[in-house]
Amino acid sequence: MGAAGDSSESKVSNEHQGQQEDAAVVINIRCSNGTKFAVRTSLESTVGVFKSLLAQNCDILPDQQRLIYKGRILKDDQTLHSYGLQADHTIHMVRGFSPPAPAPAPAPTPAATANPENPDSTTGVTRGVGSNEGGAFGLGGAGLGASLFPGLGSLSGGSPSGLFGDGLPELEQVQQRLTQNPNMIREIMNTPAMQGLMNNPELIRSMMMSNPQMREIMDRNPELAHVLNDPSILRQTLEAARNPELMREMMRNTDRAMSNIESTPEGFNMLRRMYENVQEPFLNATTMGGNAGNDLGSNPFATLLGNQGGTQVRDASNNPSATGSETTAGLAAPNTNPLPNPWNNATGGTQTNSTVRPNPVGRASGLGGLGLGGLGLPGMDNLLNSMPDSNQMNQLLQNPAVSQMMQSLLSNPEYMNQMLNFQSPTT
Amino acid sequence: MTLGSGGSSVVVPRNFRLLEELERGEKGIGDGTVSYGMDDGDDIYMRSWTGTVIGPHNTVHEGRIYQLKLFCDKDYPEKPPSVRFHSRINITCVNHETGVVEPKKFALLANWQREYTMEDILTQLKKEMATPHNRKLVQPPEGTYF
Repeated sequence: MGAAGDSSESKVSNEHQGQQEDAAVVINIRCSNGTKFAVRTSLESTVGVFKSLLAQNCDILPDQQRLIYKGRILKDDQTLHSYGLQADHTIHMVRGFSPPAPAPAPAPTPAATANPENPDSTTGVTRGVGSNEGGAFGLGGAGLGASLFPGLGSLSGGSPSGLFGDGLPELEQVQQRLTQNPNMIREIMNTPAMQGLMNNPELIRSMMMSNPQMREIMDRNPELAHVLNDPSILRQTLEAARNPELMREMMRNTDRAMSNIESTPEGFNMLRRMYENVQEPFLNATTMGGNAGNDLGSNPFATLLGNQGGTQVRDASNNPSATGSETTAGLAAPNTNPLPNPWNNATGGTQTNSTVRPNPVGRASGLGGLGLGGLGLPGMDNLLNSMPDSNQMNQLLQNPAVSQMMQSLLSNPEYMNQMLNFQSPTT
Repeated sequence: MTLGSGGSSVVVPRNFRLLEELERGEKGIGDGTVSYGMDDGDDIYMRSWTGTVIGPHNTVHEGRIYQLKLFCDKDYPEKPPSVRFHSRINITCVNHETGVVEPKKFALLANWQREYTMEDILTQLKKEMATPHNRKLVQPPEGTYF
């Protein structure tokens, strides 16, 4: 973007070019950020050659340049002449997304200090973490991480030449093996290098921020920006990826929150909203990144999430109709059923559970967006408000499952904080 | 807007008007965020035009290049050109099947005045992309066409 200040050099650096070719003309270039410069070129040269000439005058690499003249996008193998270009005409230049700039690769630096033998492996590992939550455990719902790291995945997966360089094809294989083996990931997570990484949420954040699509999402969703900017949430997520116990606990919380959601009047709307605000942009960001890469197979997240996305669209369309009746029923007679016990599928809440169960994917990733069970909490709040009868309330609170949940909530101030923060934007 | 501003007193003939627009397009005069030109330099009626809009910042469209087809019939500029997106886009004033910019939903075409130019159309479409109801809409993958 920052082609500013380049215009001064442009004329000078191209003098020799003009001498080499006979019919050199001056062409004006206008960048999308408003800067302008002029270059001297032959109209017989191809667009590809012309782009590398432009690259000398601005900081946009030839394969990132997209040139527009007379409303048309110029193709590399055509000559300038074939587009009818003439002296003093103006070509517009836009920086394309395709290969993200390799410059911001903060990952290896601190890792290298902690673990000098294999600095590159850290990036692979970070990807591994994401899939550990989203894939190996089968429930993206467990987290923030599941949604955070696909972004990262696409950052590295989308640009094979970016982070790892072209010379390291075997790294891709290593990464794939990593993502398929959760134990290995856990081991790696326990290495000092990863510990160092985890203690530095800033670093993770900057890694994520270097993905333009992620940045875009954060710009548009203040809630998410908050999540990604909160070091404690990040740390919690990473902790969870490392510690299976914690992971299970979080997943349990999420499950409980989910089974309660449909007894709240606004519950499914909330889900739907979340899907629209959070999940879709995330999917876009990750799959777009994946498509930009050379092959989808090299980015496990793109494929993983791509599939998930497909399922989800279907779920989203089914959800409102399937559950609409129930929500209204709940309004008429506020929650006379005991709350379903999420661990007891056979006996408890046959009717309610059946609506949730069929779409584990939608549920999982829907939750994954907000992460760490944050979703269930506003739902809980609504639930409490909607109960007019104090007896029912007491009954509810005496339910061991509920009291356990409340306890776990209240005993963790961070968790509490998180839910208070989430509540304002989502409800 | 300066173009054809004397429309009330002097009526610029169609050909002069289109030649003027052609030159502006080639020289990149204007705000520089849109680009347009004639498809076929041999068409003496200068009917078929191509335009591009660069997606505005801080929207889902950022970094994308949208290509459009504009067709100026012989009654241009008395009547607006027909405008159609070539690149797929999801915004409210564009038909989802055909890519046609629907005049009913796009004020500039609905209230067309002969001083308006194709550049105005493109710039206005760009502004349309940045409106609150369009800037967040999920977009079809880049590089797909109607």
